[in-house]
Formats: sequence, structure tokens, C-alpha cells
Amino acid sequence: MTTPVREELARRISDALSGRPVRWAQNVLGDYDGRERTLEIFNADAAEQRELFRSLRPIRKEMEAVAGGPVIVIFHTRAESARLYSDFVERALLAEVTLDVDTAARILDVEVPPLGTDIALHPRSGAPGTGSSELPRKAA
Amino acid sequence: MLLTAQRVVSPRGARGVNVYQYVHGSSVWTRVPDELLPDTNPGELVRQWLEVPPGENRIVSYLDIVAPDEVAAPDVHQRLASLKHYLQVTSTRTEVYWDPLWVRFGSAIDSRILQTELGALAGHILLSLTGHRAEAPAPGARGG
Repeated sequence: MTTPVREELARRISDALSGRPVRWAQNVLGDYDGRERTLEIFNADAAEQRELFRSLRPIRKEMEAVAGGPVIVIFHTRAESARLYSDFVERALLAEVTLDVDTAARILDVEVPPLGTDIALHPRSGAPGTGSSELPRKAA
Repeated sequence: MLLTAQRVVSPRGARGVNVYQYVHGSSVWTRVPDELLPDTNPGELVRQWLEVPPGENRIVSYLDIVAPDEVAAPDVHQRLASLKHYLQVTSTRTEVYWDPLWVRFGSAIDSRILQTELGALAGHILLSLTGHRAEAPAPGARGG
């Protein structure tokens, strides 16, 4: 199984899990059967894990085919993801959104009837109550 | 808290996405109360990230997200990255409760790329909150 194929599958798994960061396990402690088939899923709180596991069912066979056997899944809660893996998680989330940011900037036709016009506001400067308290737009 | 991103075009044709963060003060809820929805009470503006100086720019699309002020940053970040997966937009204006968040998306663009635009606006908010976009200085702030 080649690295690009594994990485492409990880990306699709992330999509199936609503954009949660996903990676093939790195530096997992201990030697066990299936270590190279271990998948880490981040920002997955305990209450969500059953549903997330269910979301993997449609692609489970493909996961096994690419990984070379049953895939072992490790869920990391949001708290643990932030505490232990914040760099990776932030990088993964930014990668997830940057594609859309770049694509929209490239292909968007902005010559459309406007929804409204924007207005200049001022953010809070020091004490609460000094910032604007209106939306930054008025309807067309 | 209200997080807003809006894609704008200036009268001279400059394009960009401006992002705003408001706070409501300490509030905890299961579902956003009506009185804290943006048209009623957007809260107080505390930060803004501006690509195009605002004032009479045309608004092409916008995204409003209301969340409790106390919501944890990693939770907001994941929600922003997940939004395009959660919300399938088929019309030019969509409002939905995504407890404890509330989301509104409006756009005048081609319906075939609404989903990309939704992800892009959420992305601009995430880039701003994580320090990957330059923040506009508060009034009275001095450069150093």
C-alpha cells in the first residue's frame, strides 16, 4: 500500500467524519498486531464515537483493502486533541478549509446583484460597551 | 458570540472577505435564545479582520454563526471546518440551529458553488480566529 493511496483514503475518511482530523497512527506505543493499520481520529468526544464509527461503515471494506487488514481506530476527545495534538489538529483543520478559501477566491463570479452594502464599525477599545452593536451590513 | 464573514466588492472592484467577532456577555444555552439572534442583538464588536475597508462595499455573500461566548475554541474550530459537511445549502438563504450554535448563510452567487462558498466563509473565520489573518487594530491603538 503506497503512501499517496493511504493519505487519499485518510482524506476521504476525514470527509466521512465531517472534516475531523484523521491520520494513520504515528509513534503509537507498544508492539501489537495491526500497528501499521491504526487510524487516529481527532476531536471525537465519547458521545459522538458510536455515530462516527457508523459513518465509517460504507467505506470499511475499502479501508481494509488499502490498509491490508482490519483497521484499528483510536478516537481522541476534543480535550485530549487540544492538549496533546494541537499543532496537528490546527494544521489539519486549516488544510480542510483552505481549499475552499482558495477555490472560492479563484472561481467566484462576484458580478451579481448585491445582498446589501457593508458599513464601517468600530471594535471595543478597552472597556465593554465601547464597541459597535450593529451588524456590519444593511440590506440592499 | 457572533462570528460573521462577508464577501464584499468595493466600488473600485477590490474583493475580499471581512470577518467580525462580537460578544454577548456571559451566556450559556442549549439553543440560541431568540433575543440573541443577530438581527435582534448581534452583541458588541470586539475584533475585526478586514481585507477591504468597509463602507458602501457590495455584499456578495455572508455567514453568521452565533455560539455561547464560553464555548471552547477547539469546539468552534471543528464546527467551522465541519460546517460544509453538516449544512447542504441549496438556496441563497439558509438558517439552521446547530445546537448550541445557530447558522445563517446568504449568497447571491451561482447555486452550483454555494457549498464551496459556505466552506470558504467558514474558513475565513477559522483563519482569523487562529491568527492566520491580520487583525484590524482597535481604535486608538498605536503601532509599535
